[in-house]
Amino acid sequence: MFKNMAKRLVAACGLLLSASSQAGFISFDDLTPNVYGDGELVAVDSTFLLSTNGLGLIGDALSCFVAQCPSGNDSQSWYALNDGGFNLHRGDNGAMQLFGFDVAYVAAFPIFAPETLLGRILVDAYSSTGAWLNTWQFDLPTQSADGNFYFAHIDVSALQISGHSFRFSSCTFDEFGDCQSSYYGLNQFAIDNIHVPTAPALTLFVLGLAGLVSLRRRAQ
Amino acid sequence: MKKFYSASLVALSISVSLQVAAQGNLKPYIVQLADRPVATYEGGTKNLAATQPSAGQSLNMAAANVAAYIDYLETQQDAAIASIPGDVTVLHRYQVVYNGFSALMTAEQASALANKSGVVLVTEDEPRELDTSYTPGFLGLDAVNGLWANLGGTGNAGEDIIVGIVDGGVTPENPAFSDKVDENGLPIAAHLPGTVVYGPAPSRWTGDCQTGPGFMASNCNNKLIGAQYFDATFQALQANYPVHWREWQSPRDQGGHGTHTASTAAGNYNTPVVIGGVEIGRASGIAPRARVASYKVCWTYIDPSPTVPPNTPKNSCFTGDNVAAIEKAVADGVHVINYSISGTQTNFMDPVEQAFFAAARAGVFVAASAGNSGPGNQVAHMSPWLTTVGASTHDRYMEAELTLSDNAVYRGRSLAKALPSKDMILAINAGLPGADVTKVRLCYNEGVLDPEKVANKIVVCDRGVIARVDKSAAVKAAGGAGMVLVNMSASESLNEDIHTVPSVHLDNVVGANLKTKLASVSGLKGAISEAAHVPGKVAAPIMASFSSRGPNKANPNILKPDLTAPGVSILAAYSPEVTTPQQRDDIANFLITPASNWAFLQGTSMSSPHVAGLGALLRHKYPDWSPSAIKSALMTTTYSVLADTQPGAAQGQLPWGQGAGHVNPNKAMNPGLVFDISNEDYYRFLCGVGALPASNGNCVAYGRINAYDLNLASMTIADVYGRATLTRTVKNVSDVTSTYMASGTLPGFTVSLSPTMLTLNPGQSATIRVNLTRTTAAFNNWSFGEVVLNDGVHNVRSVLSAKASLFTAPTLVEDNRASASKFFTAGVGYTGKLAVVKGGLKAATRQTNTISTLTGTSSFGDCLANKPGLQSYVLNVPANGLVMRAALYNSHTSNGSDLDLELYNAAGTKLATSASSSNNEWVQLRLPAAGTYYACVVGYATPAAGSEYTLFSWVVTPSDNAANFKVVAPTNVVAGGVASIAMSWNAGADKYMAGLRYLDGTSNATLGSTAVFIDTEPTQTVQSSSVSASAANAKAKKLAEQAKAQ
Repeated sequence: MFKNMAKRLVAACGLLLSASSQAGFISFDDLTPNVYGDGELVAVDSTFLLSTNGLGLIGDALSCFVAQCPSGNDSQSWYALNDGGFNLHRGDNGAMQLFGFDVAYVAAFPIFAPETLLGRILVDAYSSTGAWLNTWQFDLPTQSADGNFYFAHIDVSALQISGHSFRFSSCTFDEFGDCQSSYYGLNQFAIDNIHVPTAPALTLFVLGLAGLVSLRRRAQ
Repeated sequence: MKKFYSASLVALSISVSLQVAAQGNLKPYIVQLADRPVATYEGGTKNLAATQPSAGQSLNMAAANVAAYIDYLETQQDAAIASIPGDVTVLHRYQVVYNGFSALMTAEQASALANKSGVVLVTEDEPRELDTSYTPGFLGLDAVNGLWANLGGTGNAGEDIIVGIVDGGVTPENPAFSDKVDENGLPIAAHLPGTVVYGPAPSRWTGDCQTGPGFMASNCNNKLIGAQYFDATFQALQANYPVHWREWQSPRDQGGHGTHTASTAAGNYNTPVVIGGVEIGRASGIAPRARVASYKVCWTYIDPSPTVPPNTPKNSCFTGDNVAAIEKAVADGVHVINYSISGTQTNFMDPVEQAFFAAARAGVFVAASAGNSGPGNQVAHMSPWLTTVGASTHDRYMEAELTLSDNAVYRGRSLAKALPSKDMILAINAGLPGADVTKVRLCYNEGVLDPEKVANKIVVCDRGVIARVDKSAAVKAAGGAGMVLVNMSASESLNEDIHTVPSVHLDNVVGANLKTKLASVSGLKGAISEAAHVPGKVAAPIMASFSSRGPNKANPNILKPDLTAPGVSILAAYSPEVTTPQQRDDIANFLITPASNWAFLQGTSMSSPHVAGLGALLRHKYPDWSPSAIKSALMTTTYSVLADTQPGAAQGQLPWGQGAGHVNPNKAMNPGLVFDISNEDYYRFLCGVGALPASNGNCVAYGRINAYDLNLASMTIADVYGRATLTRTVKNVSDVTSTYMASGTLPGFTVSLSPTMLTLNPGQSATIRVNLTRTTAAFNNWSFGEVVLNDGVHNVRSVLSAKASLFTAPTLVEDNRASASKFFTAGVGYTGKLAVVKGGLKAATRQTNTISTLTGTSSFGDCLANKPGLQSYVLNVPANGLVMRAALYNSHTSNGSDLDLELYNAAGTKLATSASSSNNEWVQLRLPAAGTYYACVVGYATPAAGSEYTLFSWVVTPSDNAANFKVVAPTNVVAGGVASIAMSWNAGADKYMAGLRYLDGTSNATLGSTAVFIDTEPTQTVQSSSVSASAANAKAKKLAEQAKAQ
């Protein structure tokens, strides 16, 4: 009995691990460094397309000059610049659920304002017809005491963020505390490891989750 | 202390260095190592305890932790010295305010050392020049409730404060430096009998009284408590700078400059002054009871210039010696340093600037001269931790009357003794037959005046070309009795010079009248009265035209100069005139004791010690104040100089001329608020301006700030893109709670302050934000206004300067990746459309050739003719060119070479020079006009067989489009915002250039341009793993600057 339970637990965890580590992670690492103007379309992998709003580029920590790139990430990320952002959708226009992403603030000039909340990242979800569904806002990671900006993971799996496309953008707090989404070109962020499980991966994840719930009930 | 003296011991190797220097291309270099010096070490290395003093405390050089850390630094220095390939002669070692050493090296050795681990900077030494009463009264120090009275009167003002003078030495016989008074209570030369009125040197003093020719131990006393000299670098360079016979290798001042500055800052009160037999009155230093410590670093040598007569003396101060003196002064325990010596205008990491940074960290207030290259934009000593002083006039002068036999009276500047009635003659009528008429009119001292015509007469000479005192010397040589010197234009100054015959200096109008009368009326005689003081008759203060103007060329967000003080016609102690080698030897051998001497001098050299003296007084009043607090008090209490006649940015009333304004010491002693600056802030500033690389430990520890946010009492921002905010913190230094109202004005901008009212308890600090929004200010022009905090008692005024900018993008972007993306930020000051024209990438055109060593100097004509040592290359630029560059590389040049590069246009005008100590050279033009240009390769040094090299060149136009170079930029921009401009490429191994041109998308007006250099060839240059690329670049740039300065 205990042996069977253990086997099933291992299997369920394996499904969860498989779902979260192998599929639906948009890391930009396999793409050639490039820059994109407003409206340009980027095939980030075989499943997802990214449409640029404003300016964007695929770059890394060495891509900044004058500007201050985030530290601690040696791989490539998407940089949304100049009050810009991007739309993410599937090539087959299928539905998606957003589970999380890594994000960092990109300063237009080197600044030193550790632990100061500078802005937020905004996620808008749209239906298959392009109708706006909802907006979620998350604080952008603050500057570290060492003067560097680092990526932080934002886990949104519990928020049930679903739709046929997601728009990522950012805002900056003005002197009155209002977060301005059009702010002199200063809204800039870098994003990486966007977790949007594809259908097979999502299925595996759901199965794994169901397995865990089942095991828990049996244990009770 | 023992460790410190190692510097002197090392200097004993000069006999070796003399031989080496004479042998080849050895030059003095100053090497900075990575560890902090004692004055700024905060701990953290090998369990060695921190050595930096606490706020308000001074260095304790006798402490065990200091000795241990110096041991550590010496070990690091030994390792660095040992790593230098070949023999090397070390001249100085530095540990207190600078960690490193100076040494004679070849360019190859210096270059190799620059790339070693732990080496931050290698700077080629170069000679610096000296920047060449009544002023205490003019400053109000002697007012009933003035600063002197507030400090206990003239018998106590500056008591026990030690003022270090890093300069040309001291003349110890002058009573300004005596600890004795005579029976009348007046200062008397220390070697004469008198009553000692000073106690022993303050307990913190650990300095020395060095002896040598003309200077014995008894020349120091309780007023002149220290006298030392630093000449290891100078001595090592005797092959190029042979010492002049007038010089003494001792603390004795040869030229008078060091004596003058020392007595201005801290000379005794009420010292009798006699010049040329004329009793001028009494003189006083600004801090009359302060103690004087003299550090001689400037030496007189035979000017090697072929354009001057043989054996012409010249005086210079070598950086290696200067840093050694600053180091010793801080270790000795001085409170204040005066530095009236020229310096860098562009480099915060210059060894002298860095030594003063550490000195400030140790609590030492430093005043430095702004320079005498005005009214041009040449302000020196631009570091924010220094108080940089401009020069302005005061309102008293010495005047004499020339009375003609027809009773007409002509008044002019003079130090003359009375001269009874004599015949008068115009110089133009006094020439020898056949003499050059111009030289006769100007009274050249070349035997052009006819003794038969001049004998026992007063000669009227025109000003110009030669030194004024040389004209009176010419009159005396021809047997004349007196001179009238006549200005030729309204812009010329009037001066009280020490002439060899009684003289009067007239302005151009009065002088022209005199000359007209003498030309038309024969037989007129003239008599000169004894000169006398004329106070309060002229409008003052006015900025001196020679005072170097800002803006700050190292960073325009830091106002320089900081303030102004009297620097014209300054009466102070001087060295005695020595006219023969016998006189010199007699003084050297103590056979004669020279009489005291005094002189009127002008220069920022003279204004700086006024501020050093004020720093000493404020230090006396507020022992715990930091140097930046003292500087703030001096700056916020200033008043404006009067208008001068300089045009445009050279106007003296602008902050570029007078800084915050003219010092007002009686207000400075009660400033109400101060803008203080922590040492961490200075590090943040250095990191923010890129002087320290982001990887530097201080940048990691403290972060960075924008230069305009450094907490200076002045507020300066060079680029306002529509709007900007400056942040300041003020501290209540009064003993009462005060409520201040804040306000600001700036033409062309709205200024709002937040908060507008602040109430501060004693010792309490608060932050204010100064928000600027452009309204009508013209782009790229500076606006000047002020921010004022007023509590009804104090009027705390900050100079506010801002420049509205339309568009600013980096001029150069570099990368070495083959496939990459990059973006940079441009500042935008308008709302509208933005367009970008791109060209590139474009691979280099390579041309290989061999060149020999150039003998002589380069010229356009010689280069065009490809004369030996020069080779020219044509660069044709079509219309709409984006960028043009020519370059050389170490990796593509024979070993043992030092090639340079010049760029000329078709008219032969030299447009750019690149002359570093290596072969990594480049010259470049952005948006070059269509036409033909010439790159000229210069064989500065080559192997015997010549140097093989490859010249790389690029002319980039919009039609160039290699390597998938792609650029994107926002099409709409907003005033006050930014534009991130992004590019990507995918290139093979080569050296590429590209160019970007920015346009207003509506008007098509050009906004700016950026050159892009992509070098994907495998690097062949070994770089230190511990030195960042930017630090290495800084080294390369510095070496280049030094080489160009030669």
